[in-house]
Amino acid sequence: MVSERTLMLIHYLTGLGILVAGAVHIGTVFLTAPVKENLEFAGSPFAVMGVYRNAILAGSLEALLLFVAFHAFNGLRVILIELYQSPRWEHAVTWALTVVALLVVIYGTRTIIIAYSIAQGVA
Amino acid sequence: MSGTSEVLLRVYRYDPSNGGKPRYQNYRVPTFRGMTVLDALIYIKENLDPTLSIRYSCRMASCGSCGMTINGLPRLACFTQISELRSKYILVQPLRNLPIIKDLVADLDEFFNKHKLVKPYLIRRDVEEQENPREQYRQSEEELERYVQFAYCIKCALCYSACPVVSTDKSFPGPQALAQLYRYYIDTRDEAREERIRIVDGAHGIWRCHFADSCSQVCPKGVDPALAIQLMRREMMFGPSKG
Amino acid sequence: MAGRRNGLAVLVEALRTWLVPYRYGLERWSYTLQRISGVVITLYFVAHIVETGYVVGGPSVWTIRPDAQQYAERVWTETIKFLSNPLFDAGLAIIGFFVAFHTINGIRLFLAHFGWGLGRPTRPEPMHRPQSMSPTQRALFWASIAFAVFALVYTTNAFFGVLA
Repeated sequence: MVSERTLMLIHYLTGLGILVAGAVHIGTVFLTAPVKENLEFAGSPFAVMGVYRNAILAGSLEALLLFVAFHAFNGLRVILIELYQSPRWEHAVTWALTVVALLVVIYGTRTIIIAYSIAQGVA
Repeated sequence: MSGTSEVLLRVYRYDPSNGGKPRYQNYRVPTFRGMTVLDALIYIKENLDPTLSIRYSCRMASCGSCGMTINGLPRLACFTQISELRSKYILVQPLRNLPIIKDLVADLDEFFNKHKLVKPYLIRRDVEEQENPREQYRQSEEELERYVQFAYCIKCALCYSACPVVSTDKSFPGPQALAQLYRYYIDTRDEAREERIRIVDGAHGIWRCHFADSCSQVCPKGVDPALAIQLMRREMMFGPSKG
Repeated sequence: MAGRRNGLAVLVEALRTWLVPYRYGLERWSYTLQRISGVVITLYFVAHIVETGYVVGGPSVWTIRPDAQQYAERVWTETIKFLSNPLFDAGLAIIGFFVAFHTINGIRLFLAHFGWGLGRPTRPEPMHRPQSMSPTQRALFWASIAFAVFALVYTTNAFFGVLA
């Protein structure tokens, strides 16, 4: 098992990673591509998907997905093991959250890959 | 005693031998200048209700016996003047996060056990030296300054009672124990750094501190346990500092 | 306060200490807000992954559809229609507030947890002010509140045009 110290170190590092990748995400999606004038995304989805045409931006989005998934579900784990203490509970919480986090990462990765492929076709 | 003004004390009562249902009881107490909450409780015990249980000893904030929750915050009853509360109504409850023995007396066993857990004494590698010390250890002023603040701790359990983590995580050592861990860790005379780190490096150890700073807020001696915990965490993340 | 700890009592006690920071000072408020915002952002994050997943085909499609563009266009329009209601807009504004707060306060906690921006140990005199509440820490806390309020105003204005 990974030690608590390592988990918390990754927690801090992913936090910093989110700072960077999140800024890129918000910067590209909100401030440049589709919504300069209005925030309603009323135009075409390809304005947003156009972002994915760039492999580096798509990669940074994948990184953001991984960072947020770890940071968020490790945070939930911390809250839940502070709520109640028993080895069984901690074991169950850790495994359940790992599974959920993995599902979210797999599903999100699929979205990014498909969107990237579609964007290539559109271009 | 002028007795011109009065204060209403609403006191938590709980007697496990007598049904064991917690309840509150009101007492009207005449006040005088400089009167502390402890003075008021002693007045109640002497004049109004001898069945009230309180624990106190030195009456000058150096023994740490009379910690209780006064108007919602953990404070020392002897160190809290009625005038400073700015209220005609004072709610007195036992310390939170601890089992109650009777009325305002909290059971500190759990608290002291966690204090013992961090080995609050100097450890020398040399067993002979540990058992029968012969050497004299010299420290510079600077080396003393590193830990002396945390050595002011009187073990009153106010920080333990204020900590939001302790309230649900009973395996968390608590601010007092972690601050004492750092106090001995950073002491130049101590030789058990790795051992001390191992004690609190678990899932319910030092990493569960979220720096809510309530411990430092309520400490009557200015020990600042939150600072000690953060400095300890730095040592554990980046390796031991020099010295 | 007395009595055995059963499941419900533990939960009530937990919610009481986590959600009622009253009387303990600014740092306790930051602890509560950081915790609430973390949970809310996690919920938003999962919802966001699910929602964007629908645009490229939903959970059942794992290849690129031949009609991917038309499909995406259609689902996008439907999603926009579904999401364009004041409730979701207000929710997004709150998410904006929480994300901004969690970011700056997270930086503050990152620094504090590694002992940066805190004072040094001193000999406490009576009426001592803890060094862990250093001016740097306090300034960063207020910066996180200010940034969060700015994000709230910005998003609220974008959705509801309150400043126009």
